[in-house]
Amino acid sequence: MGNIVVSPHDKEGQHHMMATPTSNNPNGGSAATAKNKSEITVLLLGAGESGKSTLFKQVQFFHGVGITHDQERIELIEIVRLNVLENAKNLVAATQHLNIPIEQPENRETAKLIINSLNTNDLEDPSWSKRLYSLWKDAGIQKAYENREKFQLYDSTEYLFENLDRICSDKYVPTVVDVIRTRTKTIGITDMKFDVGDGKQLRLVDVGGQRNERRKWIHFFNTVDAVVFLTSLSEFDLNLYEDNGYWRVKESLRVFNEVVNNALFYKVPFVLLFNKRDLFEKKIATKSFSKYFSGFNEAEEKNPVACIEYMTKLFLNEITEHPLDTVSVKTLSAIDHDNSKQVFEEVKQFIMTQQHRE
Amino acid sequence: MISNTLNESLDHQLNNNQLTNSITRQHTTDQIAIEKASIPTESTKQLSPKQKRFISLLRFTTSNSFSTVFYIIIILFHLVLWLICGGIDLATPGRKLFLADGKLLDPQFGCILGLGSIVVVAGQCVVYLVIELIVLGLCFYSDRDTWKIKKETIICAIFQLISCVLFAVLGNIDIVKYLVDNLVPYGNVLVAYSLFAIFVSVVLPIFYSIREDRKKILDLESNVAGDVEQFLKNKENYEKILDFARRSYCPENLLCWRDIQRFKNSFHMNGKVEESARMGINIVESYLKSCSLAQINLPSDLALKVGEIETLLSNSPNLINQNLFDSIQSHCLVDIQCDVYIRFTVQSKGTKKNQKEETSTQI
Repeated sequence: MGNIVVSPHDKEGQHHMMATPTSNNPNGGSAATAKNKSEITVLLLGAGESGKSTLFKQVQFFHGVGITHDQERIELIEIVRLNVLENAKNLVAATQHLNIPIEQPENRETAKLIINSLNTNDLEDPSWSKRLYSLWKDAGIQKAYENREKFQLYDSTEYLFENLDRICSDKYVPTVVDVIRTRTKTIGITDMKFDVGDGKQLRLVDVGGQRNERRKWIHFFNTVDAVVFLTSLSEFDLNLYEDNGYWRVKESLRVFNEVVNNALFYKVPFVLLFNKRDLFEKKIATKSFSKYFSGFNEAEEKNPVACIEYMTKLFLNEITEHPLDTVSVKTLSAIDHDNSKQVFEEVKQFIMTQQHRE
Repeated sequence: MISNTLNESLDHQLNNNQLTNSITRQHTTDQIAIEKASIPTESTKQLSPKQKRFISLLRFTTSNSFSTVFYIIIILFHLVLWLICGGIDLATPGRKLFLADGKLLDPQFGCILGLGSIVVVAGQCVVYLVIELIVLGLCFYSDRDTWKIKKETIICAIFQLISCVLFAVLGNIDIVKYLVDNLVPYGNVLVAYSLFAIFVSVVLPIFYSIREDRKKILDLESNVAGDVEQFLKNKENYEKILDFARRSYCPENLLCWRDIQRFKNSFHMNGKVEESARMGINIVESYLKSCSLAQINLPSDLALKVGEIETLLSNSPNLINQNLFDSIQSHCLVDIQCDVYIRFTVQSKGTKKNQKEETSTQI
C-alpha cells in the first residue's frame, strides 16, 4: 500500500487525514475543474448509519494516519462519552415509551440524573462507571435493549457499556477500536488520498448519509471514478433516524436506485457493500427476517447466506440503467479491522481493473 | 421537554414503582404553551442619532486615549499652577499669597511636614475616607463580581486599615519615632499600602488578563474543555470555523446556531415580538423545514417539533419567547461538536505543527 499524501489544495498543509475540507472551490476542488487521470476519486455513498465513515476511519487506520495517533484520538474523548450518554438517554427514554419499568430504585435515580444533569465531564469520575453499568444491567433497560428496533440506538451501545470502566476515567484515551465503534454522524463531505501504485492516487470521499446531506453528493458526481455504495444488513427491522416512520431498507433501496441509475455513473465502476454482517448474523438468530420480506422463504430465515442472497437480489433488481458487469457486490463488517482491510483491498483491485479496462 | 416527561415518569416510578404512560408530543405542545412566560415589552429596535452620539461619547470617555490625555492634562495643569504660584511667592519674600506655610512641596524649603500640610492632608483624607466608606458599602450590595473588583476593594480596605493602625502605633513609639525613622521613615507604611493597592488593582489584573488569554489559547489548542459554545461566541473563532465548514460543505449548523443566537438577542435588543417572530419564521424556512435551503440534520423527534414551532410563530407570535429554539440549538451544538469542530481543531493543530516545523527547518 502506498503512502498517504496531502491534497494539493490543502494550502495549510494538513497531514491529518481526519476529514479535511476538500477544497476552497465549491465545485469540489482541482478534480472538478481539470480531471487528473492520475487521481481516482471514489465516493462512499449510502443512507445514514450504513457504515461509510466507519470504513473511512478503517482506511485511515490502514494507512497510519488520523486516528492512529494518540493525539487525534484524545480529541475524541468527548465524542465517545457523548455516545455513552446518548445511548443511556435513549435507553431510559425507551423504557418510558415502551412502558418497561426500570427495576432497581438506585438505577431509577441514576436514570433521572442522566436525563437531567449528567454531562460528559462527569464521566471522568470512575463512580459513574459502576452506576451506569448497574443501570445497563437493570432488567428494565435490558428489556428495552432487546426491543431496540422500536427506537433509535447506536450499534455500539453494548460495546460502550461493557467498557465503561475505561471510559469513565480521568486518564481515558480512546483506543482505535473505541473510535471505530463510536457513532459520529457525518455532516458535509470529507476526503483523504493515498498512493495506489503506478503513479496513481486514490481519493476516498466520505459523505453524510441522511436525507438533507444527500444534496451535497452532487458536488462530486461529475468527478467520480468509482462509487462504493454501502447499505446495512442489520437495518432490516429499523426505521430512519430522520423519519421514524420510514423503513430503512426501503430508503436504502430508493437511494441506491437513484444513484446506480444516474446517467453520470453509467460508465463508473460500482461496488455494493452489504455492511454490518456481524450484527446481522446475531440479529437473525433472534429476530424474524421473513417478517419484513414477504417474498422470502421463512424456512431459510436463520441462514445468513440465504438472507444476504435475497437482499442482493433486491438491490440488483433496482439496477435498470447501469451495466451489470461493472457492478460488484460484497459483504463487510466494517468494525472488523482485518475484514475491512481485505474487503477494501478487493474493492480497490476491482476499481483498478475497471479503470484499466476503460 | 422530553426530559420533563421522563422526569415525571421517573418520579412516578420512584414513588409508585409504576410507569406512567405519557405521550411525549402532548408534553411538547404543553411545554411550548407554558414557555410563553416572558413577553417582551420594551421597544428599542433602532437607536436614534442622538442616542448614537451619546453612546459614542460614553465610549470615548471609557477609552484608553481619553484616560491618558485626561491624566496628562491634569498633571501639567497642576505643575504649571504650582510653578506659577510658587514663583510668585518666591518672588515676594516674607509674604505668602498662594501657598500655605505647610512646608510640603515648598519651593524654598523642599518637602517637609509642617502643621499646615498635615491639616491639608488630613482634610483630604477625611473627604476620601467618607467617599471610600460609601463606595465600600455599595460594594456589598452588588450581586456580581465579574472582574473581581469587589474582592480587590475589600482586600485593599483591610490592608488600608492595618497600615493606618500601624502608622498611628509606630508614631507613638519613641524609639521608632526618634531613631528608626531616621533610617527608615515609618511613614513608608502608608506608601507601602499605596503600592500594595496599585499592585492589587492594577498589576494583578494585567496578570489575570494574560492568564485568561493563555487559557483561551490552550483551550482552543487542546480542545479538552470542549466548550464549543464559548468558542463560537468569539467572533474571530466563529468566522474561522465557518470558513472551514463551508469548505467541508457543512455550514448549516453553524449558520443556524448563529441565527438562533440573533433570535434570542432580538428579545433584548428590540423587544418587538413581530420582529422576533419574523426572525423565527426565517429560521424555520431556512434550516428546519424539509428541503429548505440549508436544512440541518434533525432526528425525527425534533423534526416533529418543527411543525409546532412554525404554527406557534405564525398563529400566536405573542406566545413565543427566546427559548423557542433551544432544543434545536442544542442539537446544532452537538452536531458541530461531534463533527466539524473536531476536524477544525485537528486541522488547526496540524497546521500549527507544520508551520513550526517549517520555521525550524528554515532556521
